[in-house]
Amino acid sequence: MINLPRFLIILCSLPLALQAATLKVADLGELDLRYSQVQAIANYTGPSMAAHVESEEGQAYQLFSPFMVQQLAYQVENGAWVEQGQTVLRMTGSEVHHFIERIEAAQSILSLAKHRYDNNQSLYRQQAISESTWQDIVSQYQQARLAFGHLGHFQELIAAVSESGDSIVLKAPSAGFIRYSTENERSGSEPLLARFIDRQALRVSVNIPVVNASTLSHLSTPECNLQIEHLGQSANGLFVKAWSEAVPQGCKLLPGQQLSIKPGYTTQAYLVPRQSVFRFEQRQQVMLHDGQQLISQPVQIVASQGKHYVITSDTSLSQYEVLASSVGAVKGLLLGMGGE
Amino acid sequence: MLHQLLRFSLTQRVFVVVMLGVLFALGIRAWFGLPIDAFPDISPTQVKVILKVPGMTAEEIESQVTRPLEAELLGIPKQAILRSSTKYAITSITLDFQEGTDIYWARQQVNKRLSGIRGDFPAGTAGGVAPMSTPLSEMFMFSLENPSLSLTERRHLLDWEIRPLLRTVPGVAEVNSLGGYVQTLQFSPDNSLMAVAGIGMEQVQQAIQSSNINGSVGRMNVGTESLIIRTQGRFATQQDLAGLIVKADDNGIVRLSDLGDISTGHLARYGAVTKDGQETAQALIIALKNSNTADVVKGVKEKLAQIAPTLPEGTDLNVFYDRKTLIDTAVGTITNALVEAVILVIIILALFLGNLRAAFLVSLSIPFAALLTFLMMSYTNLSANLMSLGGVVIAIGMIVDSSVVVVENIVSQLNRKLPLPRLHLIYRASKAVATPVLAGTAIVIIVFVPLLTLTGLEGKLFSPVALTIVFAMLSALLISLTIVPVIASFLIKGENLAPPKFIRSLQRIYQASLIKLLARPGPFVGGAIVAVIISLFLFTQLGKTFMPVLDEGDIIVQLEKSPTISLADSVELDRQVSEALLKQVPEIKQIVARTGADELGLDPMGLNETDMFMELQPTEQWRFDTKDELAGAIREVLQTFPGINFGFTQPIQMRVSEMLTGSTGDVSIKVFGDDIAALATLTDSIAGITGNTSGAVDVNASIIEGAEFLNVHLKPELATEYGLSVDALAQGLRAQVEGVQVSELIQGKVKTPIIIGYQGNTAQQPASTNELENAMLTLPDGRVARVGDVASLSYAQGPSIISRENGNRFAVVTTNVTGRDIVGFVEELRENIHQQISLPTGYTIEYGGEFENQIRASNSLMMVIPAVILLIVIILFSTFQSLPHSMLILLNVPFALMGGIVGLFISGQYLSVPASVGFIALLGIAVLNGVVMLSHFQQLRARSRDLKELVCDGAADRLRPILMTATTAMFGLFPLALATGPGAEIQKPLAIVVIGGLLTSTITTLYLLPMLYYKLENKHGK
Repeated sequence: MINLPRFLIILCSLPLALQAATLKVADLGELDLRYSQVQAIANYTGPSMAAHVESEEGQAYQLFSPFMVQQLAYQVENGAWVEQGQTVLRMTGSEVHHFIERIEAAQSILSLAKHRYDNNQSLYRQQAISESTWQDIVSQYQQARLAFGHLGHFQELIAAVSESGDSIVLKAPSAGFIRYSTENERSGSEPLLARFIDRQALRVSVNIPVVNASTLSHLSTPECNLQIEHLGQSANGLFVKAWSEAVPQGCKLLPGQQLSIKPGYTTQAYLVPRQSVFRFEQRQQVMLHDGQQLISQPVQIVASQGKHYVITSDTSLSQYEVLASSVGAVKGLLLGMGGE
Repeated sequence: MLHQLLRFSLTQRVFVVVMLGVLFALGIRAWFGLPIDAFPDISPTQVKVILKVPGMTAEEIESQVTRPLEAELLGIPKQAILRSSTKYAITSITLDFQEGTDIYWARQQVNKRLSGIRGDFPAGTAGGVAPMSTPLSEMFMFSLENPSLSLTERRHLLDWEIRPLLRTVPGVAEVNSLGGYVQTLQFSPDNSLMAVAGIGMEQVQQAIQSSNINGSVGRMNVGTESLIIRTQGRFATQQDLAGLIVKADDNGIVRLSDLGDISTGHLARYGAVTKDGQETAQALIIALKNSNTADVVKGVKEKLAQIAPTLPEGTDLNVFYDRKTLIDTAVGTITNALVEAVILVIIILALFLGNLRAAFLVSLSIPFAALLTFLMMSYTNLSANLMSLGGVVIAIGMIVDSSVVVVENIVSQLNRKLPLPRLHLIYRASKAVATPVLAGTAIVIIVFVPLLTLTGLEGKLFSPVALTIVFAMLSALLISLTIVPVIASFLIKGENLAPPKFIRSLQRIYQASLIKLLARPGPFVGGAIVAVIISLFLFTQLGKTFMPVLDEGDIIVQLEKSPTISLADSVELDRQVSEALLKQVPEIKQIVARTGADELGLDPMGLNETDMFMELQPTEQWRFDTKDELAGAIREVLQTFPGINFGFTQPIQMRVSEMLTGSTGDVSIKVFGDDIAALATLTDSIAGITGNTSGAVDVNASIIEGAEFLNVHLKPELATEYGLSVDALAQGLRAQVEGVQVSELIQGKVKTPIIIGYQGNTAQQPASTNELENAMLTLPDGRVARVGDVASLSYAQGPSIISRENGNRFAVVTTNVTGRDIVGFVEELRENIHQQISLPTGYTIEYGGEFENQIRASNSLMMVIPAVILLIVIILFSTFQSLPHSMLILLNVPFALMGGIVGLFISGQYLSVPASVGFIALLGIAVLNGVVMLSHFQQLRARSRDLKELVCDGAADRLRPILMTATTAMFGLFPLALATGPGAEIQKPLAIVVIGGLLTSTITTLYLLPMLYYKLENKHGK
């Protein structure tokens, strides 16, 4: 009875076997011959790399202040999860007072402008006022509305104002992980106060060499495995940014956290003991055990995994055992060595 | 002068006796004080420079270190040859100086040149002038066994507890540690953390180096006190290193421990040692040149006995090589031969003299001459070794000759009962023979003196032989003319010293046969000539070798595995071979196998090379009668391990062989030229031609190519952008692959290297080309890049070893020659190569090898032998005042040589340097016998007797002294010829030649010489 799969494998590898060096097991004398079954694998782990827990550009809610920051006190920890409307920071200083005054002023101006607009609307319809005068009225009204609106949105986030009017407490505009702004970001005329990252936007990113990016499948931390969701569409020099799926709650990863992680790569490969690979005729090879003979088979080493190599080969190796001892002597034999 | 000496001795008898006692005491003191070794020092004045350049290929080291250093060293005067061998990470340069050059001067010159150029070497180059040792200096080896200690701990014990103490033993030049792991304090950077912190490798290195120092400040006067100030920063513990602040800024401080792992690791290994297949650590004690090996071994053993109790419980210092054993065995073999020779000679004297008192008196000359010889050896700094003591044994049979002559004449004079005072009679008797005794001694001395002119190995080996024989003969002469007459005056009471009965019978038979032959000489003379012709034919059939191989008692099997094998795999194969040998060859007591290079680089073998040192069980426990049979059994086992080359050698043989030519083989063909590839092609072609030349066996072309490199080539466009230099790339990669030593942790006497690297950290250390390509490199600005992105990787072939001689690269083909003479072989080979190979411009070929030694030795001997014959002729002519008579005696020589040749042929010994020395010795002894015979004829001739009667009576008279001289010389050498122990091999051919030659020369002296004399005188008479 013919073992069909084995027959097919042998048939497929026949052209290679014909070129390959073949040795009879019986010719190997007292050499200690141990074999190891080739193990097919679908992925492997690469050397650790630096990763960053963050959100993609534009995915975080950014809270800007319409006035300069003089004193800022966050009321929650950087990176902490906050609910929408939760008070998160206090701003203090004369600019706060000026801001409140600016709101009040803007509100009065708007009220005045609206009143004028409403009153002149019928006059304009009656063509009692000229076109240009009406345009001025409309323009002033719209400017006052926009000016107030700009301040008004920020005002909506004010949870409390101190009696003296120089301190306000702000609420979170949306739920998410709060990320403090940096000193630089707080230094402009309309400074960034904080970012709010939605749970679905929090991911682990790694800068991966462009050449390896396509096979990167997942990132492993001690607590969880994160599948790679997508790659950045532009490279930063030799690297491209890869983004994981959203970080699940159980991963114990914090926004902004920098960590060392193990990347996982996808490839159809085999696992063989390190000591089974040798270099012969300018190629990496293994000796396949086929009954009473050993056949050399060229392979490519992809990576190492503990005491094993991850290898690929032009031919299927899953059914084979490879020689895992005395390989140095076998190579010597192939080189014509031996004897006194 | 001789007469005055005799007169003084006999008139000052008490003084002479006192002097005798003093000489006796001094002689004994000299014997015990003589340096004892197995061999004489055969090394030239040699200085070796060993430089290690971690991570560099042979070609790079050659261009940056070997070549510039050679250019410097070539300027040193008095040098004979400059050789170098450059391999991966190491270069070894050897300078041989002319004979007689002072070693200290030579070392000083080399050191001076080396320090002048050292600054130009690549950073990290370590090493220097090797210890002042010789190839025979490796005289004691032991492994450190303790199952409860790790290999790192064992090595630590060896390096820091045992080695420093052993180095205090007088005569120890160096203690070489091998095997195990050298402990380090290792920082394994996490590239991702380094990148996050924005810290480059150079910054880490600089931080460690600048912090781990104690700086000097100076003195500060505080009031009336002076206070010494220093800055303190040295790390005292691993924690100090871990806590090192590498960077501090507004974001906080970054400590070394924040950037990676800090652990105990080990240096990259260049070699390993196994005992019976299990890895261990080994120490090798190297003796200082000119030290007394026996004393050094004794000192080492005493020191080890002191150290042993202080070592952790269960530690065993397993000695597997002790040169003292070889010394004891070799010197024991020779000493036994000496004692046996003395006993045999005394018995023969007693038998031939037939008088115990006279025999005792003659025998007294042996110990006195021996002690005087030792005294002279002591004054001339000659060590007691296989060769010098062998000289004493050879001389034993000849020492007694002069005393025999003197005693025999004293007794004869006393027997005449002349009315003269007894002392005067003794004086007259002694005076009468003083001149012939001097002439006889002079002949023997003259025969051996030219041996002192031999150069090379043969000169170094046989000069001690010649010197001790000369010393012994001079001592014997002095004793025969001083002590012997004095003791005779006390001891000899007018005994009858008539020949014993068996001698008289022999004389009768001899006389009768001689009369017959004188009447019909034709058949005898014809037979003798035929015998000489046959011996000439036998001479062509003799095997030829330069020097017999000394059985050192131990066996070394050298294994060679595939050139690119890893250390781990190499050691694994050693384990398999060791275990198979131990299982199948019970004669092997233990196997200590050394793979790769040693610590000092004295023997920088590749990872694929192993020396398996086999300690053997006592021969009584062997299943075999000879060592060759045992080697056969070992060979059978080794042949079951295909893919591994093997060879047999011995500890001293291996080193001597390396010292002499750098390569082994009867003939070596060196091709000099610049291009490695061209050299490799040429050696392949030459090897082919050599293999096709009749007589060539074991043809071997040196492998100079075959090393495979992974070239990492920096991409220049990216390198500029990242500010990455080739050097920085190499540093970064070295840290990942092998580790970079940046500083050391000093804890008392222990210095632990601080390494940036990943030794033993398989998770981070690249283990394939792909991984190296993907390895992250921290760039100078702290950013990281993938190696494959900033550099391209490619495989390249290159030289694994570059050998140079006098500044020129060469490759070598070696071959042994069998079944034909080497000179003819070399001539044919030279012609074949000349016809078939067209050498490119700048390429030359030189022929050398052991053949060189043989040719040199043959040439020297070809000069020595005619010189000896000429000197003998001069002495003979001055003795007999007749050229025909002198020639008559010389005619004895071919017949003496005939016996020597037959002796070699029957015993299966090869024609070698010692056999040639035997032939030279034979000249003297054979001529001496002729002189004894002819001088007596001449004395009788003066009385004008009938010629035939004169010849017959005279020959019969001389039968006893001639037989005595010949048999004492022969029996004196019998123990040496029959000795089987280690050490006997070298003297054996010499003894066999002399014994064989004496047999035939005695027959010709007794028959041919009287016949030819008769013929000659008869012709003159007519």
